[in-house]
Amino acid sequence: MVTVDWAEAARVAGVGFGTVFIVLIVLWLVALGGGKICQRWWKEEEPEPKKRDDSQA
Amino acid sequence: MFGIGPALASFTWQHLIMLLAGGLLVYLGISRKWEPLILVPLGFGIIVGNLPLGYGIMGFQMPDGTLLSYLPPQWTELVQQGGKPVGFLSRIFQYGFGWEIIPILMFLGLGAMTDFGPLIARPVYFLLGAAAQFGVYAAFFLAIALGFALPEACSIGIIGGADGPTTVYLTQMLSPHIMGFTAIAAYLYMAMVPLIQPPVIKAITTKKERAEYMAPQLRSVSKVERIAFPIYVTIVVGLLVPAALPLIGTFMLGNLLSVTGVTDRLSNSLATVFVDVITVFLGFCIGAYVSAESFLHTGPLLVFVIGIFAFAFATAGGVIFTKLLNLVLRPKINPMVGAAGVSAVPMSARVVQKMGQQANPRNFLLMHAMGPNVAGVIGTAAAAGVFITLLGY
Repeated sequence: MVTVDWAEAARVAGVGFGTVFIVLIVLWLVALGGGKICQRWWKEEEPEPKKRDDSQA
Repeated sequence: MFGIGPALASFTWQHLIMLLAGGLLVYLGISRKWEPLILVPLGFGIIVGNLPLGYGIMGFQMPDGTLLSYLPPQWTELVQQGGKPVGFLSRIFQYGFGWEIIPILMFLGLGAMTDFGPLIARPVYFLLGAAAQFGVYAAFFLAIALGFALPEACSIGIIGGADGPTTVYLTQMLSPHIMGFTAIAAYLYMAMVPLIQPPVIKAITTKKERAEYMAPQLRSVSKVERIAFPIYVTIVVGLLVPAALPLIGTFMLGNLLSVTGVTDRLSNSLATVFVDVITVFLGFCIGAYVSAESFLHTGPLLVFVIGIFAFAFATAGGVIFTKLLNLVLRPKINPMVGAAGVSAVPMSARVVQKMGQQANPRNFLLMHAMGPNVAGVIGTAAAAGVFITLLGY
């Protein structure tokens, strides 16, 4: 058995959980922004549907 | 030394218990199909590693020349004092685990097998993957309260992340003497997710919440997004938690190779033959490392008790956070999807799918649940990296 240092344990857990949340929040925002840019870019790149040629009619 | 008589004469009741424990894991793997790819080699490793006088397997020569048939828990310090592994598996163990290579290579294969599409399509699932890490820290405190030292508590806590290779990697760095137990607990409880999660989910959700409908289809994800994802995840994690980079970097490289469309040969090998070979050595080596001399004490056995709480806390953390998120989020997320933040891929997502169907037959939650499921893997690797940083390893 070892002497429990609760203050140190609380620091490790607090900083740990906080950092994990920050990392995943940053990833959420980057993925969200990247997704929106990609979707817009994708739509712009999409070729327009061909119009029917009615000139012979 | 290698005769028939001496080995039989050295056989004790502790060896018998270990052979039964190994046999039980092999049985669970084959008969119940509980993580058979890892539990069968692991269980067999326990059997092979616990036959007395099996120097050729896990043998270790102490600094004074004495031969042991098992790798002592403090083997890393003994190596520095002149001791050396002399068995086939103890040599692989020294380099594969002592240098933390095998768990990292495992991530390369897992990356090639992972589809991040659901997470890219709805990135809010990153937050559910973070919330499920609550189990890591709850188990960490429980371990501290039960008298474990800080590095041991970190290694036990990470079991709650439900990620085998990360558990092995972190434990080898912080507290190698309990590595066998944390690894077995992580893999065993990953296999037991269908038994552990449903009662916890039912206890903290109403029937109406479980029946919350979600449209089954997620938006389609472009190839550019799939290629960009592993690159920016590596950069973000590398900048914020550099200690997690070995895990995340290999994980994301494996994934990148699987989505480029021009490296199929590499990703196919990584996702099949490569990961299989690594899995066999991971299971076999860890199993053989779990010796009667280090296993049959109350301390290590407590690891299993805390481990099951870690999974339960992680499940509860994910579900409760989803309920809180639903106060502001539209469209709402079925709270059970939060439980899949426990990164037991894909078992916890399957549990959510099954329970979702039971509560509302129109619900197909699998694709939604895969989002937090793979986010949880990234979250657990980040949690391990933070532990390594904070403890100064």
